[in-house]
Amino acid sequence: MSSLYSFSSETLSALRKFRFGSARASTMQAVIYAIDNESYEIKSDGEIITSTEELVEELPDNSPRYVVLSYPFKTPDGRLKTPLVLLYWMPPTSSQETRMLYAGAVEEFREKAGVSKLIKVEDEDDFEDLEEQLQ
Amino acid sequence: MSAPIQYQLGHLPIKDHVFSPDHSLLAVTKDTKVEIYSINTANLAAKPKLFTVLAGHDKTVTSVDISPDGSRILTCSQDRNALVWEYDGAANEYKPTLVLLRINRAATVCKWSPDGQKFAVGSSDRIIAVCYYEAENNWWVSKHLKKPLKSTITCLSWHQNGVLLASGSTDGHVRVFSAFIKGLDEKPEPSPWGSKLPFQTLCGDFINDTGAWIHGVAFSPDGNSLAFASHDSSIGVIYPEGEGLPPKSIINVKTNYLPFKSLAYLTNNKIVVGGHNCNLIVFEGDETEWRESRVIESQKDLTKEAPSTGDDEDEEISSHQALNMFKQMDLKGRVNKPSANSGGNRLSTTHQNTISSVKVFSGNQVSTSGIDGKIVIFNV
Repeated sequence: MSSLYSFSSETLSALRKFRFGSARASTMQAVIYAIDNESYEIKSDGEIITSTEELVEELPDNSPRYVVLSYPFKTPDGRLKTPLVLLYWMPPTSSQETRMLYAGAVEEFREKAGVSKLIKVEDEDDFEDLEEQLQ
Repeated sequence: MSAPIQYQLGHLPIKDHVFSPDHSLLAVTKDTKVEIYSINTANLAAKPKLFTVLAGHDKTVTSVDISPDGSRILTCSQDRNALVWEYDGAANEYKPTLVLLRINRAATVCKWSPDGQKFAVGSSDRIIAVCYYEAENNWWVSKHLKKPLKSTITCLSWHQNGVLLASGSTDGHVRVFSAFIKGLDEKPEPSPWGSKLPFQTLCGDFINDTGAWIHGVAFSPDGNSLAFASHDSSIGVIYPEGEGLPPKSIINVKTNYLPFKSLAYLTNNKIVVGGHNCNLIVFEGDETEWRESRVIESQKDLTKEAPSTGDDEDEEISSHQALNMFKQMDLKGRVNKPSANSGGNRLSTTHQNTISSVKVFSGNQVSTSGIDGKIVIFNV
């Protein structure tokens, strides 16, 4: 069954690199992925965002986005963990069309990015308890 | 002063009306539909012709507004929706676009901003929805103004900078919000209302001593004052001092008329109000004092009608008038003796029932709509 959505080989290799490369980082690392409206290709602008505030600023107010996030934190017993999660940014003001478009691709994107955990984020306030949700 | 021009558009109540900027179109709300009439601007007294009917709402249409460039008509209704109608020249009709307001109660009032790029819709859901068109998604986005609204919004007014929005509510409060949309609006000039104004900033919160429902609110043409009409038959005018400071003055003018329903600024020092008294009152004033200046039409107080003289009793009273007399006795509990002279129970004013909305028509004219189904253009 052929899918509507496509991934370029650069995106796939970038995703793989991010998965393995971000484990050592000291700050959070996030990359935003969007679906191109004409070609239905999932791609990113390549920028690595290193803080929550910057991420909130970069995310559009009225359009859904996927964010691959690696967030380092210390567990209560002292270990350093950097889990890889997929943030599903879905503001309520987005149009029905774009919602359906992103909802259809989320599973496929999860597989390609190799992440197991998915967190749905609806507006800016949800970012504050992000850390708790990761543990 | 010349006689007012009246259009009797059926007998259903008209909740709201609006003229297009060039006065060629008149939109009136009629139950669940909006009727568009074409007006002969050269001869205003001519009867308007019905151009088209916009039927898109399932429940009563509460408000209608035409964008400042005359291209789009906005309607909102008790069915919780707002529709933006655009004229399709090829099909010679208006095509609606639904705007998802995401409110759970009726929409009560809608107004385009002065630049026509966005509009605000007040609702019974204690939310004001500020909506704008996002081209990349081909979709109208609605952002909510929620805090600290706790009651139905009855009226809205945009400041001429297109960022400040005044609202009147059934909790008696008049509030001024910032409806600044990042990416759409330019940063406004600092004004007595405030300087740094991100979205949803509350720039002012005012209440008068009775806390009665606010029925109408309007910014002055220069934006430095705000007037409101309250259900306690008074009008208030607020002059702000600056951000975070108490206002320069809040002037309240109490009257003995029946409550007002709508008001409009003619100049920075002249306000015209109308309401349940079926007549228009002009108020004049400035920062220090406002007072009632005059009444547009002379009004006979029907409760104080002089009793009919002996001559009338000899004249023939038709059975229709007699029937009317008993009907009125039953309805109002008082007798207006039928006489061949009095033409039934008409009010002495042009409007036979409450004035529902007052809008500025031109420099010295205002247009009003009433529950009697009339649109009247008065000279002030």
